[in-house]
Amino acid sequence: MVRFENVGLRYGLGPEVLRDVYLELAAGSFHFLTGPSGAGKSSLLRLLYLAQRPTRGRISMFNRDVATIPRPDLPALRRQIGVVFQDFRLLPHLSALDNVALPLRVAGIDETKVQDHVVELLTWVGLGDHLDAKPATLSGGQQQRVAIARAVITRPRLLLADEPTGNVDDRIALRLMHLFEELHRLGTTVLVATHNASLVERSRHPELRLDGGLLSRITRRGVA
Amino acid sequence: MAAAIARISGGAYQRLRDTLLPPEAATRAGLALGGDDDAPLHLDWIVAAMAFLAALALVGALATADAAARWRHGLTGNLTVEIPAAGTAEKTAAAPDKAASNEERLNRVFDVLRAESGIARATPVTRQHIAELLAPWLGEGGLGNNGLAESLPVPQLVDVTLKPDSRLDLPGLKQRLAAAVPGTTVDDHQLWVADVVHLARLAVGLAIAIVVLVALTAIAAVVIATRAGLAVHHEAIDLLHLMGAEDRYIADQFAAQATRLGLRGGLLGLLIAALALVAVGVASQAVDPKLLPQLWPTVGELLPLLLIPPAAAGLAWFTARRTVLAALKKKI
Repeated sequence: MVRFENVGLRYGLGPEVLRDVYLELAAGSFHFLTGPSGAGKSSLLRLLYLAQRPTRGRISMFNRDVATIPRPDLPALRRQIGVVFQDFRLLPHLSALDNVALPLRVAGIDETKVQDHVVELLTWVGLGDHLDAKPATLSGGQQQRVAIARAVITRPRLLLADEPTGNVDDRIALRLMHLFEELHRLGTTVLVATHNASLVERSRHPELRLDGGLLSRITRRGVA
Repeated sequence: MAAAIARISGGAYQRLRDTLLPPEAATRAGLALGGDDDAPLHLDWIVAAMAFLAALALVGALATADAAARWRHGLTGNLTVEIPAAGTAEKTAAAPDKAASNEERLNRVFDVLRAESGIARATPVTRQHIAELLAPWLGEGGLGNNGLAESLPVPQLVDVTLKPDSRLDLPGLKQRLAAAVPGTTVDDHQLWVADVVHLARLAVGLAIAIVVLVALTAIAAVVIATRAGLAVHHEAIDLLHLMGAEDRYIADQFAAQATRLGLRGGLLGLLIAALALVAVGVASQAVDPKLLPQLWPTVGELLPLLLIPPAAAGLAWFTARRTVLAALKKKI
């Protein structure tokens, strides 16, 4: 589903923040992305959700070479990717319901279906009583759950989550991980970037570790 | 400002606007472009000023063209025959009728005019009327008992009205009149008509130039306002892009807001122009109509002005959409 070959990324004339990255995410796989702050996790995610083009190397997603995808085809590709941003990036003027509904509206889904799906999902993540709440009135954890709901509402083929459990307590973190697992079981490819070592330890899924712009794969038995 | 227009229109404007372009739809679609009253650069006020200028330019052109058409219509169906006063023609022509009186000359001219099939009516201008026309220059004291000093060689004038669509042989008529009474001339007012037509064309051309200039200024204002909006909302735009929003999805939101502002500005500009024109109309009624020509187009002729608000809205929609699409094209 996702393949990086010898990918490098630098911003402007600065040093390379990602170097010689080889990465393969098979369809239906689940990976954690770990590494210290500044290791390049967010840059790697930006490449994955097509917000950035690599400086060098080749990226193919959904069996298409990103470099050769015509610009008009990018929206359809992006709709297959759900993203949970570290800073949530909720739109402050929209209610929780409208924030979560946005990807459906962008995709042109019928408004009657939009309401039903969104209410159901927000209820499931424990925000059924906050449908009309604006982000500013929600706690950090509640905002994070809205952001996650927004990322998964379209049942994306690829889900990218940047520190999705950073602002919630263990109980909610576990619940959210169950949501990701459920999506994974339904066929979604999941990549979760996290600092939460216990979360990774508890999981059976492989870990991709970024350090100094270099990516390595860690299995439960050691470094691959 | 929206409230002011709503009050003036009795809420009709608000209902029309909300039906056609509900602002909350754009908000729910992702971009908080804000209330229209918070629009960048107060685009509606700029469009209102442009619409006001365009309306005045159009009214000026319509009024001039209308007056020119009336003058032209009044002049093209008429001729003026000028018969030199007795005793003056001899100086310019070998006159066999040296001793002919003014009355005899007039009769000869009428004989020629009656023979013309294209002439509907010929009326001599009375000496009293000529005296009135000359009074501003000669003064009342310069006039004799019968209206003019006998010593003044004032020519006799005949107003000739042509039949509609008549094909008069004007050169031939001139020759026949000159043969009947040497020195007689015919003024078909072509010089006047040409001047009037030239003036009307100039006025219409000037109005078109002003309208084009106003439209270009409005376009520039919409472009600047839209770019400001793009800069303000770049984070939301980036987010929508990442969700898979197509450029036109984003462009339509900016275009909808620009359309609302353009419509509002167009209506306000037209309203102000209408008030200004009514004020001018009322003021002009106090002026002697002889001093001021009738420069007031009819209601039917003013109907094209109603196109200003939809034209402003359409221009704003098109410009905003193109501006956003061009800007987004540069993004990944």
